[in-house]
Amino acid sequence: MNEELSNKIIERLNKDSILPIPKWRFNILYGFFWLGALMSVIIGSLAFATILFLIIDLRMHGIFEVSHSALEIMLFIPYLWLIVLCIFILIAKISLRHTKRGHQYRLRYIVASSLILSIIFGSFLTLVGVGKLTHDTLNRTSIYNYTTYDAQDAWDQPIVGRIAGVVLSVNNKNNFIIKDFEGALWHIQIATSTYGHVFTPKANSIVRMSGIYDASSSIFIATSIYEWED
Amino acid sequence: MALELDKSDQELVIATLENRNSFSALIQKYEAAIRRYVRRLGCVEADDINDVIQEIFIKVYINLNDYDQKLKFSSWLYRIAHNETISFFRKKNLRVNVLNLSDEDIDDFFEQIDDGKDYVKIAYQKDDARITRDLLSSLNPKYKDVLVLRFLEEKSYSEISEILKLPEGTVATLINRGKKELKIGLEAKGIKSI
Repeated sequence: MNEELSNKIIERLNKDSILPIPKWRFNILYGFFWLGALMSVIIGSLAFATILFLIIDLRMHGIFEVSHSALEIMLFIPYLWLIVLCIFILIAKISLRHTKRGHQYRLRYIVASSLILSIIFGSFLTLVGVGKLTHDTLNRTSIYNYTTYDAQDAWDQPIVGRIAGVVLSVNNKNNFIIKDFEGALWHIQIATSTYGHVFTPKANSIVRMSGIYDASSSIFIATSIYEWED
Repeated sequence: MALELDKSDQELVIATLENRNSFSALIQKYEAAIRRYVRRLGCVEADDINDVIQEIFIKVYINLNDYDQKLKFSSWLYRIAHNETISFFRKKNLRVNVLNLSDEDIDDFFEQIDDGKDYVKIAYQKDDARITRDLLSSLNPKYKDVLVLRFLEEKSYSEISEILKLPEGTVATLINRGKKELKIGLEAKGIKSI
């Protein structure tokens, strides 16, 4: 038994007044890591709730039926939220790995659990309207608005044959004026041959329409008109 | 001191937190094992080994409140020893991957590796320690670390999991892959299985 080394170490502890780090500091540190894991599930759930809301929103407003190609549908994928979801799954992984027993969980289980929890809580949050609330709140900021494509954006594409807005006035049964979601006014003319549903426009109703934009006369010729569902 | 050495590790940790002189018992209990482990990881000079061991035990003392009493103290100590030794190599710009194994270590290694408990079996003549030593050193560190802990330090999978902070399943996978790599390497050098 070598007492020399232990004496040397005890001497150094005394000489340099070395003390153990207090337990509360470790508790705070691990608390932060657990908080990180918890936050990642909360943000992940919000991300999933918003993704689900955006998909339901696009589906409810018939965008998948009127899209021209798979490539166009890919534009509607909420990439920003998918990136947020991935980042917070990664944060969950890093946070858990730094907790005392976190290293015992395999990466695939951490990723799967984080994803499953986000899906469960996210679905619940969508049901109670948090997905919509998150989207609507963030949609007021230009960066979010620019990067995330919702049903209103999808129906604000007169050049590709989609337009939506509030009916301001009905001139006659074939002509009316709408104000789109960006505030621009559009003259609408119902086509002579229509297909799909033709909702009879009334002042103050919100409508979405498929058709053709005639750039020479600045008129949108609607071939189908649906009421905008909220 | 004799009384203190009879105490469990957990009791010694509590005693050390109350009175630092009790730390001597923990140091004396583990010094030989840690000295051997540090040497096997590649520390060659006696002065370096002494310096590293001192730093390891100082770090253990400083972080004593972080020790989870539900775990084996030796696993926690080995984790600190492993990390401190690797950072010592980095500080000194030494090659991290050269193991310092004696012929006796290689003999022990083969005795342990052929215990039939692991999936990949290796049973070789112990006639060329140098080749085996070089091959072990040249393995990817992730394999080398688990092989040294499993077959030289004789640690269980759960202990290795605690020491290297890896899931137990990953430890098992790394051990088997490391053994496969070693087997291929040995066969390529013409060392045939018994």
